[in-house]
Amino acid sequence: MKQKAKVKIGALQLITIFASLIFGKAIGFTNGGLARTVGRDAWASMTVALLTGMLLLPAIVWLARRGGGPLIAYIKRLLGRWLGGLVLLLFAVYFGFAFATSANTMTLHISDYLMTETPFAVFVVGYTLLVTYGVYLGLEVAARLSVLGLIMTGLLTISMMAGSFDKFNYTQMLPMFDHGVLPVLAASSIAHTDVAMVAAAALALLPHSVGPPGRWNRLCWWGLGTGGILVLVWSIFETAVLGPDVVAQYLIACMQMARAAELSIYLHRYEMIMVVLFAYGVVTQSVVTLYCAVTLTEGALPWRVPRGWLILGWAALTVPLQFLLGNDRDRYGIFLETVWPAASIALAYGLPLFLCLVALLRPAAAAQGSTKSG
Amino acid sequence: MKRWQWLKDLLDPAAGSAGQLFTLGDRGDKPAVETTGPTLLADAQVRAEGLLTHIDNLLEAKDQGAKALEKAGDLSANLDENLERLKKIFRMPANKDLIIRELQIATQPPTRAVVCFMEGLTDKIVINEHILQPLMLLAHLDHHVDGEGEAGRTQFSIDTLIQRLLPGHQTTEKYDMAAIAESLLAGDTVLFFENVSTAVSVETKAPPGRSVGEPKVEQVVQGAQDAFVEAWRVNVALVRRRLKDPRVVTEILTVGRVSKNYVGMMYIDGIANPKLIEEARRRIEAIDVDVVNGAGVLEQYIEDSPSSMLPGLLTTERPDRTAAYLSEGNVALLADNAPTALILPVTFWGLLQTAEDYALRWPFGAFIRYIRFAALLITVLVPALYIAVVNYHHEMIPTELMLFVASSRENVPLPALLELILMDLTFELIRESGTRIPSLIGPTVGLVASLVLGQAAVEAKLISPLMVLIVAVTGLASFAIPHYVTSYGIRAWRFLVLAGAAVMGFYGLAAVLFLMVVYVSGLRSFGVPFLTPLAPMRTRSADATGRGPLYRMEMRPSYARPLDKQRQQEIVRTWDPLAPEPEERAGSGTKKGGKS
Repeated sequence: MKQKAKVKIGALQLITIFASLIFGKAIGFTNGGLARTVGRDAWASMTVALLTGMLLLPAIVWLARRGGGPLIAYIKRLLGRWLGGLVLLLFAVYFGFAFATSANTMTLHISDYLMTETPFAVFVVGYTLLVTYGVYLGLEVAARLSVLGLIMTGLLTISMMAGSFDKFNYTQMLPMFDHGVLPVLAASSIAHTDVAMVAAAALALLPHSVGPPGRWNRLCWWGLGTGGILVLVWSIFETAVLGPDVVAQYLIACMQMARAAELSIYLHRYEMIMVVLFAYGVVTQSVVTLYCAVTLTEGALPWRVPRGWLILGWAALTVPLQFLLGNDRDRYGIFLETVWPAASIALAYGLPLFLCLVALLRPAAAAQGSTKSG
Repeated sequence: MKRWQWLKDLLDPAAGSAGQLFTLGDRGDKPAVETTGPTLLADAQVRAEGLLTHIDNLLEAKDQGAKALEKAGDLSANLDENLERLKKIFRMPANKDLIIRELQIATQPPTRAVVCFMEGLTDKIVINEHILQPLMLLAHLDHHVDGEGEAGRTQFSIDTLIQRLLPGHQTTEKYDMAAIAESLLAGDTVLFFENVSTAVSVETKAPPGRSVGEPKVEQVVQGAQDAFVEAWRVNVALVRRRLKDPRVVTEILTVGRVSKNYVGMMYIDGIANPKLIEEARRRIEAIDVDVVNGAGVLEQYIEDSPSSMLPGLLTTERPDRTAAYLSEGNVALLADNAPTALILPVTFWGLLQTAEDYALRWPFGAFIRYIRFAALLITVLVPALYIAVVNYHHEMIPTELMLFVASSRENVPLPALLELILMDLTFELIRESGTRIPSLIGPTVGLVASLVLGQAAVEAKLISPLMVLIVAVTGLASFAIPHYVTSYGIRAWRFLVLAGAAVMGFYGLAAVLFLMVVYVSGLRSFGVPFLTPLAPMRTRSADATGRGPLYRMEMRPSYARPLDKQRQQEIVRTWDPLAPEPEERAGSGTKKGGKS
């Protein structure tokens, strides 16, 4: 039988994947949600989430290094076949929801701003098929795509800054901590939905890295840092150009930001160009999250299911989920600001920390196959 | 009755044959055993005879040492037997291509011999002057007498023959009929002798072919003006002329059970990655088909994704380009009967490069590459963007521009999409007919078609002037894509993107474009990701999308994983007064890569 080649990802590609994972949804929905909660301190909340994520990542890296191989085998070794399968399934469900939120980032952009008369379901199905193709081609292709995605995202950010720099009014960001420090810290949970995606994906993807495990911490920090800086630029510009009150009124605040950017009279509808540049990063995010959901489900199930069926199964499951979440914008806003932060913090941070605890309590099982750093 | 028969004959084209219609298995009939039987039997008989002779020769040679065993083939010492087998193998007397010339070698007593060669593939002057003449006229001279022979008699021996009578520059002994047949088909002349179970093959190849000419597809203003021809040996020489290094290796592989086409696999030992060479060899040796004629066919048998819209190997008709790729660790395949070389592996960016990029000063070389990339984007996107804007996103462009577009389309009765498809198909038709029409009238027809048709269509208000402009710009841009096969793929993509834009405007356009990017990201050429060094990102290359100064390209491109990564010293312009001193050079900055 033909042997399937092991998936290997270069260090630079891992960085671009992590950066792409945080960017799409963060500038799409998170800034609006933060502005509704803490007004002009949205960017501060975002910074808090990024810094917390940076501090938590070493724990994830430690766990991945202890595993010394694929996540699936490691979790099953730590927790046993059934409990391990359950945890993997929980991870898969998390990534399934993460995919749905990522997909809605793209579909709502198009539905609300570009093709308002086309039924939302058309975008949901079309986009899911598109991502399914990417997942079918595999993680290596997604990794290559993420490089293009980051380049496009960089171009998008630079062009947005160029188009709106003369309207930048830093006084709109003052006074700092207008709502108090604690509310800013509490509101960072909304931004944690994006940072947590990087943390969970790091656990799943780091074992595929071709780089030495000793460099994994740096890879994660570089990825989160690069994506985080791009997100912060948007957060700061949205507050300083549009003002916190305007940002708070929109579910997709970044489109308003793009509308405010003036690049020339020939690109007066810049948001259309923006969507094209924005798409590659978001699609990478969607492909990676769906890929993780499929792979973890494959490992969680006690019987062998062909991967093609799993991809189609997940795609079929998430189509109604995306539709239910995104079709009612108000409900979706509430979901993103209340349910999703709690769920993603519990699953994407909570589960790895729980695994860390088990690894400490069961050192023999944890150390088996552990990878030396260096 | 006659009229009725006449009418029947007129309506039924097969009626005239009156029941004696010849059919060639069009009803799925298998050929009758009585037809195929004798042929199969004759082949089996020839093989059996050869096998029996081989066994006899082995038994005779078993006590004479290893060398004798090696020489024990399936040739008989009986000349007539050998001739009979050769005639059967070559289907004589029906086949008239094999020429058999009997002669007596002027030894004392004369030795009976036969000279065989293929008509049309050999040089007859060489045969006459360097084979027949010495054997028939000079063999009796004293200095040809073998020392071991009796006094006054000339003893015949193969060694004497090869060393003193046959001045051909490549003369080899043959012991097997299969090797002899192969040698004959390659254009050599083979000699059989009475009472000797060894034949001698003399190189007399002179297959018909044209002389080295100018490139037809990859023309340049600055740079060499020679191009490959159909004779692969000439092509190898053209490359070797540019790479005077003993490490340049040409391996000869044969493909096709019937065509037995030679494929020269060239690489530089010590630079090209052995894994790449091995993989290329493995794929070529695995080809098991009747005929492999030309590089285009060979390419389809060995590329990673034969159904891909983009080629998995680079075809070039330029020896200088082939030499440049070899020097960077790539492998080149030169197939016989193909005036092109296949380079492997290749990246997407390599398909957009030309030989002239390097002959120009680097800023122009880089600029022209960006122009080509822009041409690619224009080819793929402009028609689709136009349709998306006109049909869905009127607000995308300034109002004045939109009004201008609307006014130009005011009198056109066709929808914009149909208008564009009609014009695009017409353009493709002009391009295709321009390629097939004889070169004398081709340009005239192209000119008439493009000018007259375009003008007439606009005046008839069937097409808007803006549409003519869009199709013309798109067509012009597609000509800027230097690789012929790639431009086919890009033109096909254009229609896919157009379909996406026609169905869902910008969303459809972006979706199809995204699918293409994902697809190309997944492609590999001999294990190398197609979009490298961009995705996956490799060491910074000064020669991928753009081009840096030649004197700064110290490293070979990394995608082919060359064994020797550095191609030149960090400071090559040592004469430059501004160049650092040797000790400074040792500690100077980063090195830049080459072609990608």
